[in-house]
Amino acid sequence: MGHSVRVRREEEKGTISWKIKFRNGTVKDFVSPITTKPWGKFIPKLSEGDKPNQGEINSQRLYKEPEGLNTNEELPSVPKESFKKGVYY
Amino acid sequence: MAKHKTHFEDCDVLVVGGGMAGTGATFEARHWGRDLKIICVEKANIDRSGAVAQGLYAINCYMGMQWDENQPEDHVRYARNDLMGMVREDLGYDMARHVDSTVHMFDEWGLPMMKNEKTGRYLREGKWQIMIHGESYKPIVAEAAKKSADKIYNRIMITHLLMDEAKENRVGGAVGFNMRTGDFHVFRAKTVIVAAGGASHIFKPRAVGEGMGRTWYAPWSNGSAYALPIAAGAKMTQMENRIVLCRFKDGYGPVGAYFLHLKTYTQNANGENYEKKWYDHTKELVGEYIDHHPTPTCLRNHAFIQETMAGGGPIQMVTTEAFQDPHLETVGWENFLGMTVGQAVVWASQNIDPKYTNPELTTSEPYVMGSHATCSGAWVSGPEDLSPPEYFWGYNRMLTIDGLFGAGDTVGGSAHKFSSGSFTEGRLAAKAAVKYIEDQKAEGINVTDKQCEDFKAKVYKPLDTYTVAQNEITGGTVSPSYISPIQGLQRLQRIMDEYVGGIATNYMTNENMLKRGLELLTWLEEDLEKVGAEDYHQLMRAWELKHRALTSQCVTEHTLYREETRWPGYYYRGDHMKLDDDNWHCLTVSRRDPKTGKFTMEKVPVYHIVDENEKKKAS
Ligand SMILES: Cc1cc2nc3c(=O)[nH]c(=O)nc-3n(C[C@H](O)[C@H](O)[C@H](O)COP(=O)(O)OP(=O)(O)OC[C@H]3O[C@@H](n4cnc5c(N)ncnc54)[C@H](O)[C@@H]3O)c2cc1C
Repeated sequence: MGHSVRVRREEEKGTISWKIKFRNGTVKDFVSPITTKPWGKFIPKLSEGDKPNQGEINSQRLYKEPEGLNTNEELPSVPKESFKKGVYY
Repeated sequence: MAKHKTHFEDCDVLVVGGGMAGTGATFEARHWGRDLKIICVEKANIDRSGAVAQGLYAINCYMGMQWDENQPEDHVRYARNDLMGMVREDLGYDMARHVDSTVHMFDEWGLPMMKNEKTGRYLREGKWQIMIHGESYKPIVAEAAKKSADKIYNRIMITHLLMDEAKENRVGGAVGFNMRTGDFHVFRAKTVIVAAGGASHIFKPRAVGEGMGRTWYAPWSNGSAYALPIAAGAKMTQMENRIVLCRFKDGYGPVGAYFLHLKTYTQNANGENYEKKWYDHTKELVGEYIDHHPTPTCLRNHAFIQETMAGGGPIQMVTTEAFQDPHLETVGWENFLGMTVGQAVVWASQNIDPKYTNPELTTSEPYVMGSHATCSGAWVSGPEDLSPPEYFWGYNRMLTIDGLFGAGDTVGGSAHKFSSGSFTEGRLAAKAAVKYIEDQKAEGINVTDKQCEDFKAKVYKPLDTYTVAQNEITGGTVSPSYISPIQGLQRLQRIMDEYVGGIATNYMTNENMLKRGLELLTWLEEDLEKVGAEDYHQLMRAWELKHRALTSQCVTEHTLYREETRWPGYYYRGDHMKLDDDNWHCLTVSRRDPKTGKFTMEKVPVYHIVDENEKKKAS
């Protein structure tokens, strides 16, 4: 008893602050960011975004792929001939 | 019953649970299903629900393919090594090849990612983890789900899945109740994605008495992810593969950042590196697996447990060196503050300042989950291009019930997904669900009012039981004709603890104990027909307990079936102490017949889809 951990979260400032008080009176303060952007503004509304291309539903791609991987490549895969069953590795 | 209003909602995609996987599913479903009705139902409030409610300090699964830091193959090798060979490599590879695009979105959305000042890349905590200021991780992803959903229902606990009565083995939706209003909710749906989190509190926890309720995994993870599909007759896999965590004592503070980033290390009470001492002993049990690199987590636990049993405890984390660096000290504290604040509270209350005192560690009670470092969960189809025939039946992440999908902790076989991988798996499941609808697989579903009414009567029964049985209370809350949810929970936890490999026996069990455990679980099931609830909150507790109890039966059946000790350090089969690759290099799959309640078990082959390449090095 006598210890406490208190917190204040401020969305407008985009920060969270903590104050730790030990039983013996030691105090420690910490502050961290909670977001880097105005709250919620950069989260897209997908119903208003570009529609998927014809047939894309049958591919392995997800929304914003493959470009969102930043690899400039297609999604990787593995040829099935190489699969092995049981103990080997 | 008439006093509880029933609300009906018809939809195309129903997401059960709005945690990491559920928000991912809700978000992605809108991209592919522009005109579909997408509903997410959450037991708490999606802004702060699930295992990420308090925040996280690291994203534990990020490949960094753009910088060739890791490729999906590397992740498969890592996960299978950590789980002693037993994973669904198709599922793991699939998650890994998509996870970077998820993380890049989080960055765009405003999640504060730490950067390496020299390279400009995300700051690595370890090979797989990147560091974040993630106190508000959950509200950020919740915002994305809200923008995609037609409607989010908070405070509704889903208790049962509805089945189509026109076509066998096809899902028809789900039912539940609002724990604030008490209303009954029927969701008739073409597809259901179960994303209802893992199972904590099924084994007796170390935290009892004044620490009651404290757990490592989220206390509100009550196994619905497993109980819902099990009750409907879906197949489950690797349910024996529970996890035991090495954590800071009494607050369950995670150790990842400490080991990987702060480079703190463990020692026994005499300041010795005890892991080396147990090398030969472990080799006798598991053979060359002990030489794999990195050392599988269960084997490190094994050394910890052996050392403690041999009298070498308490085991400590040596923090007093790293914490002299003020930056590392800040990282050490903030790691808890934004994720497991209870650990900071425990340290403050005991004057443990890790700059001057090396804090104690302990091994936790077991937990069951599919997204963290083990892979219990539902048996699902993999993606078409990666899955061998035994693992593929049409739609990615679809369970063995048509139209029923899973993601995150729900899905078995794909370990080491963590927060980002669970969100990604939700996205995969959502896309597949939309395709299922587009392929006209959900036509003509018939869910009768009778089915809904029958469930309604079941759901509210604990309230009626209490109303009647309270007249027979003999003192306090003791009555011969009902049990309260907390009494039932504590009984469940003791059964699992004492018979199924909990802390009471230092994780030891055997065939006889498991059979006895199953007997006691059957009686518990019988008695849970008489669980009483005083109000809607207790009604939720009653249903959480029923879900935990069903999950526990499945865990026990699986543990009985696998006649070897595959993961010493997670649990031991005293009658089969050695790892047995000749007979058990396979996945275990179960199904509970919904009519009889009986489980049947089978072995399914493990396919290794990537080669060994980075051959294990002696560690
Ligand atoms: C202490 C701790 C530390 C962790 N650290 C990290 C880390 O550093 N990095 C990392 O990447 N990952 C970490 N993880 C793992 C990560 O949090 C999980 O892998 C991830 O949250 C799993 O996602 P999920 O959607 O399956 O489950 P959850 O996120 O738990 O979501 C499940 C949701 O379902 C809801 N629900 C449950 N039952 C019902 C029901 N019957 N009806 C309706 N809704 C229901 C719950 O309320 C919850 O919102 C950590 C987890 C914990 C507990």
